[in-house]
Amino acid sequence: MADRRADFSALLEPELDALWRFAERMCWEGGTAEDCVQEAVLTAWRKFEAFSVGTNFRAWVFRILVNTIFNANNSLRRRLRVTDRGADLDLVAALEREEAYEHVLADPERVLSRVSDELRGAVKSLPQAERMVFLLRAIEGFSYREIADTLEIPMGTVMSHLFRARARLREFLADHVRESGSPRRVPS
Amino acid sequence: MTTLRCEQARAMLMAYLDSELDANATLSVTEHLKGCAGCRERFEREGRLEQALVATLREETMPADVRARVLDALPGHAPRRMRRRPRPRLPVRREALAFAAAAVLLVAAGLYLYPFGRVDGPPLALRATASHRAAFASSDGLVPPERVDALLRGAGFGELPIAHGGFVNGHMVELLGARREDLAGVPVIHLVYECCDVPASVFLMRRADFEELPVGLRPVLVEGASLDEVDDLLDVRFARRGDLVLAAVGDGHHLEPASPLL
Ligand SMILES: [Zn+2]
Ligand SMILES: [Zn+2]
Repeated sequence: MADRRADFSALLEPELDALWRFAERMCWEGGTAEDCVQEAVLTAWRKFEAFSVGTNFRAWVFRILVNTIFNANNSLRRRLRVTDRGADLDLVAALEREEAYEHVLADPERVLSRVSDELRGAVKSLPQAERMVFLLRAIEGFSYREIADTLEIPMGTVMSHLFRARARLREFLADHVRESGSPRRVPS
Repeated sequence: MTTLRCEQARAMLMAYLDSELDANATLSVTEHLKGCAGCRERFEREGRLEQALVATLREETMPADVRARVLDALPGHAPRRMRRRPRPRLPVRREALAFAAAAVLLVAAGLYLYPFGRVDGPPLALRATASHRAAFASSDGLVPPERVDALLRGAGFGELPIAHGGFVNGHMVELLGARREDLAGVPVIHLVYECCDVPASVFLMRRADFEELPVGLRPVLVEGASLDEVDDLLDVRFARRGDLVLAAVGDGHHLEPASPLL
């Protein structure tokens, strides 16, 4: 038991920041991130007997966290399955035409350094399904396949949610540039 | 390899940057970028933006007091000297309530989902889930995993490689036990699993028996019925092996009898 506990802690502790980051952005509308993580960690510990060491602990524990969030949020599973692919292309086209977005692309670090707090807010205001996929892919680095398996949705749906989340965040950055005036062009 | 136009290349931009394109598509995009300065610049800039975005959002770490509380709550952990705040439960963990609500929903869905082949009562899949939930709580008459093989032999199903669980396709599946049941006169073995903390059932029966059941009473959804609708509430998959049929019934949760279980 003591050994098993030590194994568990050794695997868990490096993932706590990631679990927290994810829960903090997914659970803020209801319940608290701490409760989500606490619940998921206790579930993981109860299930740990059955975890085969050598397989992907990170994916395993994230799946438990995702299921904890699903339990607390009845409609999220359904929302994850719904996408409207047609709208994707319009979003791209709109962005590509925008001058403000060109400014974002010209110096992203500079734009981001000015809006990092607002950006966190923008992430939290993404639709839940898009947010979940975006966080799993862009921030936590899971593959499309792993996300599709974890969320039990098709790959195409993963891509669609991801695409939209990214487009919305880009829109947000372009809006910021538009409102605050275009940054002075950095001489190249 | 195909030659891409700019808009085709750009449509693959994100998947390319995510390294999610297959080898052929990756090669096509790479070739296009070699010969197209416009796209090359676009890809580089988008990549840089995405990196900066992710770097900003990845900074967050778990506060030390939260970390301490989470670790302290684990059994066998020497508590640190820190006052524990009473932990409110997640709002939706009141399982009994959730079960009752699910049962009501399931019955309602049953009427809606079977536009053809009018049946008496809700489809078995739905009913099975509701009753299984009750059974799950009581585990009445459940034969423990180590005696499931004997149960199958005794019921005339012979030797079957029934999985006792493990880490399957990213899911923690665990066999809790099994029992013989009678579904509208058809003998079945009801295997009770738990997957990621959610109960899931697998029904094992003979194909001939399965086909004898009225369509609406089979523990699977009939082709042509709206699977998407029911998908929200439960997930039913089935597999065939020789003259046997396996039907898995989960709770909005997947369990693939084809891969792990048989
Ligand atoms: Zn091009
Ligand atoms: Zn599962």
